[in-house]
Amino acid sequence: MTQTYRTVSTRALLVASLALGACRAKPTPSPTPQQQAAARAAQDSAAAAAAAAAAAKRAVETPAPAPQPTPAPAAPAPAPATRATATSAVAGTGPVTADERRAAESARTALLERIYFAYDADEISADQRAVLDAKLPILLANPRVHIRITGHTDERGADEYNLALGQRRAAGVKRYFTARGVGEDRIETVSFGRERPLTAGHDEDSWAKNRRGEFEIVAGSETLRAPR
Amino acid sequence: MTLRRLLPVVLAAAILLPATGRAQDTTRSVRIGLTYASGTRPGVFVSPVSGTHADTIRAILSRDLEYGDRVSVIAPDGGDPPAGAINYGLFGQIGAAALVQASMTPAGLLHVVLHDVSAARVINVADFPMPGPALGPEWRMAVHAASDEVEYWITGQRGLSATRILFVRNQKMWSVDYDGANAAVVPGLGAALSPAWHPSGRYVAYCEMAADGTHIVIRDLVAGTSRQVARVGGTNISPVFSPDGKTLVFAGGEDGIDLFSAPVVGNDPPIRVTVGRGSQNMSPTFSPDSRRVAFTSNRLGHAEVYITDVDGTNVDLLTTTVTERNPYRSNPDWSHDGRRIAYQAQADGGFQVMTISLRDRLTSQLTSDGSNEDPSWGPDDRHMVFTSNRSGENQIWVLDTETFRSRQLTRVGSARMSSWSPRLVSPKQ
Repeated sequence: MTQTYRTVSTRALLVASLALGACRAKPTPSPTPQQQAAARAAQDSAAAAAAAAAAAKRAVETPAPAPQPTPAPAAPAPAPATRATATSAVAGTGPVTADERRAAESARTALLERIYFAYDADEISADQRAVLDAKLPILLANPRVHIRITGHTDERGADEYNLALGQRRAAGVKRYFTARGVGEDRIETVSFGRERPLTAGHDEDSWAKNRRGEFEIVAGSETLRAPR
Repeated sequence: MTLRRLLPVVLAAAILLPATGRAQDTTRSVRIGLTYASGTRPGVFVSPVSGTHADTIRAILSRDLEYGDRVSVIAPDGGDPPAGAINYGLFGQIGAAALVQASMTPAGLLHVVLHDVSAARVINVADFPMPGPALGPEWRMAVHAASDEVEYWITGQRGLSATRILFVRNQKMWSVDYDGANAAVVPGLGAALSPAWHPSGRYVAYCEMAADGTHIVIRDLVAGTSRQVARVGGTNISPVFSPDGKTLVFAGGEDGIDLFSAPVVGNDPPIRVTVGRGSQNMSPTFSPDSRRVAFTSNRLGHAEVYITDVDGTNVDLLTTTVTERNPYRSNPDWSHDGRRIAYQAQADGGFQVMTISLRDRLTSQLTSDGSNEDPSWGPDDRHMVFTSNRSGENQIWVLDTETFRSRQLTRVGSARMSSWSPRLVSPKQ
């Protein structure tokens, strides 16, 4: 999965760079915090675009198909930084303008992007931490949004052990957010262990895809807006 | 185990009991003579049956005795029910130590007669009620109950054929008779995991998966009603009933997974049993006296089996980590006699079923073919069901832990999480 993730990230970078024109996806010494945030949101929205298609229509009963390595066509154009700063939306009200709606969609996509874990581990690796860091400003900017984090494991190991491991993974992600200012009551955690694999294969690549945390918006979805 | 070594003696005693005596009243105190060589299984001739559904009854009786792994069944195809005097000498010559004769009475009872061949006389007779429509699940269960009684007459050990096994296939709970018959989805449940029998055989506790997570549910299999157990935050998994039927213990929690206990009756909130400090503690199994619980914990960094008193005191590491050969042990199941705990240990990328003796903590490996996990003892503490991929996919298998004979119980789909019921028909009084 690491491989796939890198591929997606690289493409995301590209899309983000194109979308932002002169503004680079990687933070440069000069951009303002607003620009940085916008860049991050754009980057993550594109990065997540691939998984988003699957994630958005994630079926409850049947395992979702594997995320396609090809990025979704026509990634939503992120709101320019100037426009984002000009937005007068108050926390709790939904996006109004078309640009705001597009930015909100990007935020939603970033919020739903999966993260992945190492075998039998609930630690969050540095590259996965970046995925969580992209969600953080969105969560902080949308106090009405409540999310559910579901922890999943690969097929190896005992069934019940995996249910517990998935819970620890979800709880670890929750701790990451609550330690950074997100209200504890806004995040619920559940585990499905190895019961809802993303892919059915029995190889390292499939296992890596299945050892994951997923995100769901359970309340406040209609008020979601991009962070300023 | 001692009883098993004394099998020939007990056996002889059982065979030699007077026909009027009830075997269960006297067997254990009688030691008479020796009829069979030590270590061999006595031959039992299952005679052709007379009356309605005769062939089915004979087939079930024969297979039950065969699956019990304590006797050697002689049941040639065809033949007529014996008429007139029994030629005991002839049966002795073909290796039969006992002769089972069954017939359906006009009143619809299953009439079973057991002969001791060497003593040349009848030693037990009983009539068994046959409920439900002929060949239906209850009717079959009644034949199994007769088989179990016959096995008790012969060996002093009750058979375990009047039982069912619950398992999970595609997140549906299934029930199957111990011999593979009557496999069916348990109706009316959601996505189910980890079924566990109540000692009454009437209720089952399981983990139900919903969109918002996992819950513990108690299902009344007779009334078809369900009750959700008060949940703790986060995950709620791996329920088990105490052998006295009064307590439910399960694993749950958000930041860490700990064991919780709750009374089966009433709505008292669950009480925490383990203090795992963020670790995973799950898959509980009770000691026979309902006072202790063995469970899986990774509190030392990897999964091992521990034992605690059900009030949370006296925690003890059971499976020791002397070597790193098997660095992952889980899914304990405590035998009903309290002597052994079966569990699974990691080996060669898969798992193997092990037992550990509570007396001296000696371990033994019971399986080696494919990956084998999640053992559940049968009510005779000799057979167990477990999940194995030896056929190419996960299926439920039955193992005789004495002879290591195994048989495949499920064949389609992918099956796991098996739980062997208690005896579902009470012994005849």
